[in-house]
Amino acid sequence: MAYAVVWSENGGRLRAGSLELAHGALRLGGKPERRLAYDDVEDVRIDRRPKIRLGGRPTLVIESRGGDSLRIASFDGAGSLHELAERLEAARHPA
Amino acid sequence: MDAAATGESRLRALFEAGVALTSELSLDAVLQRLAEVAAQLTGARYAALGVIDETGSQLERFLTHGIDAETHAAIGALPRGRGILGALIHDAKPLRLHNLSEDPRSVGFPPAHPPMQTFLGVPILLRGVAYGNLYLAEKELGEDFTEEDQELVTLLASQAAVAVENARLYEASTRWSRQLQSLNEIGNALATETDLETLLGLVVHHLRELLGARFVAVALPAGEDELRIAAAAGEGAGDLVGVTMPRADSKSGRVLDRRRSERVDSVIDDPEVYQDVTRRIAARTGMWVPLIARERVIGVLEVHDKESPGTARFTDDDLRLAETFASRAAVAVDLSQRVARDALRRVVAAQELERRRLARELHDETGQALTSILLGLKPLEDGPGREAVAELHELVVTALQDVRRLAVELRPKVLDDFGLVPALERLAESFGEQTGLKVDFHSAIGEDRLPSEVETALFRVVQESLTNVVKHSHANRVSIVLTRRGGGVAVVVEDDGAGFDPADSGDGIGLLGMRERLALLDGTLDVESSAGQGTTLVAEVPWQ
Repeated sequence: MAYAVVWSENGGRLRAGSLELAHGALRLGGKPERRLAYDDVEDVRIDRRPKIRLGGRPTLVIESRGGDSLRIASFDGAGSLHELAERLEAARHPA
Repeated sequence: MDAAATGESRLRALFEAGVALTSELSLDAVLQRLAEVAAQLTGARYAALGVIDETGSQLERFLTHGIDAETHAAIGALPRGRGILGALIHDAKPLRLHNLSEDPRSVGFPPAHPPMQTFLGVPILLRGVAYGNLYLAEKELGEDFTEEDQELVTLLASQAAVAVENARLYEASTRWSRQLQSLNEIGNALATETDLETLLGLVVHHLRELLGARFVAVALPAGEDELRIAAAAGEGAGDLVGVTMPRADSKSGRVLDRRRSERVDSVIDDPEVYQDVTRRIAARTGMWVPLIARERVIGVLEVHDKESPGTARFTDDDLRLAETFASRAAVAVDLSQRVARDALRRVVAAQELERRRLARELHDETGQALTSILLGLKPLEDGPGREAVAELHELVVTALQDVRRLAVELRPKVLDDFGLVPALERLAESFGEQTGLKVDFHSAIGEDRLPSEVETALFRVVQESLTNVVKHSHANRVSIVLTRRGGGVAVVVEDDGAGFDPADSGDGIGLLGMRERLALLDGTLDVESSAGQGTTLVAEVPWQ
């Protein structure tokens, strides 16, 4: 399943695309594409602070072990950001 | 006994045979009895009766008298109508021969066939058309068949013609009665099923059984230009469900447009037949019957290959039976589709109502409460603990923004209060702000409000389309145009993104949901796209 999202890396330009939780990594589709292996994810949290938001929306903040920070806001309707966070956690820590 | 007495006796026998024949209702029994009587009347050792097939060129049945089962088995396959037998088929006139083998048209006998010399053949004519022939051989005492034999058998054949006609009519009426009973039972079964998929499965299964066909499918329109096989029964059915065919270049499509059923005896020779489908099931013959309910053509039944020995062709009776079945099936399918549409309409209406209630609750209750909290914080902003108050203020402001955004996403109040044009203006504006895409909106429908359900459907289509743009297109620009088109209103959403092949998209981008929603208003959805060329989506709804 893919989510409609906007995202920004390290405070850079806002990009629109899809987020897919693939096998072993999350994949941000768009121009350019971005792939982040679950093993490289250091921390995941939902941040509602104004300066962290994207387009006025709360974001899923993903910190990588390499020090990069991805902010992702979902356009897939109410509750989709929390759903995304839960599925990402499940993908990172499979039972 | 003198000649006159013999003649009288034979005429009496002929009369009695005629009475006996016309009182018989079984066609097989009539034919068998006819051969026996002809042998008795003429003193022939052997008699046979050949029934000519539909093409008029060969025999489809061959009954004999005077040849035992063992000899039959030794001879093997029954004659199809070559040689002397063929001569009678092609020229329906009596034929008397002194020696069969000496006739130049003779092709000889198969091994194990008893020797035959003298021969008399007489056609059986039904309303001037050759139905079959009576063949007599080996008159007693080695004599030739006489002129009188020929006259007697000709008279017998004319009486037999009436008996054959009666028996055929009786058998046809009995068969038709049985079929009507089956149709009635099937009709009752169909009438109680409202799930479309299950119903279509029943339709193809029952029709296949009723006709004794190798393959039956039902094709339903899929968009403007295609038909999709929605259900199939028989060999290879599983592989064909879901297959689409062009409406303009397939027999199913042509039958749908012409609203008239067709029977094809050789599918490979018919240029209208969509060979991609028939080749996959190695079909030889076919029938196509439109499903018409309430003057509307809703699909086509496609039937292939009669499962009968010797021929895969369907008869006119088969076509008539399929048409009768189709008229009943069409009513059931139409009812099922209406039930499904009504159910979807109720679900959509309930969903919108719930969204409207939630949006209003969020906006009027939660939003007002948060606004009150902001007002309550105002006097505390310059007092002690101002930093904590400032943090609280920021939290409440963002919560208020979230609540308002959620309310708008659920159901924008502006859509109900001011209509589709202002709602799309705001949607385009906020979408551009939030995604960084350049979004243009233009309306050419003036100030008039559209019916509420039309406004809601078009708004949701645009909402879904914009989500698709974000998710799939990688576009930089999006254009939304609302316009009048024909007798309706259309919204066109166009992007300059990656595009895709509509045939390969399946329902991954929610097109089916949009189509179903528009179909509730008799609307349509067209998608034009190709790789690297962006996407244009046109949703159109009739209005006024």
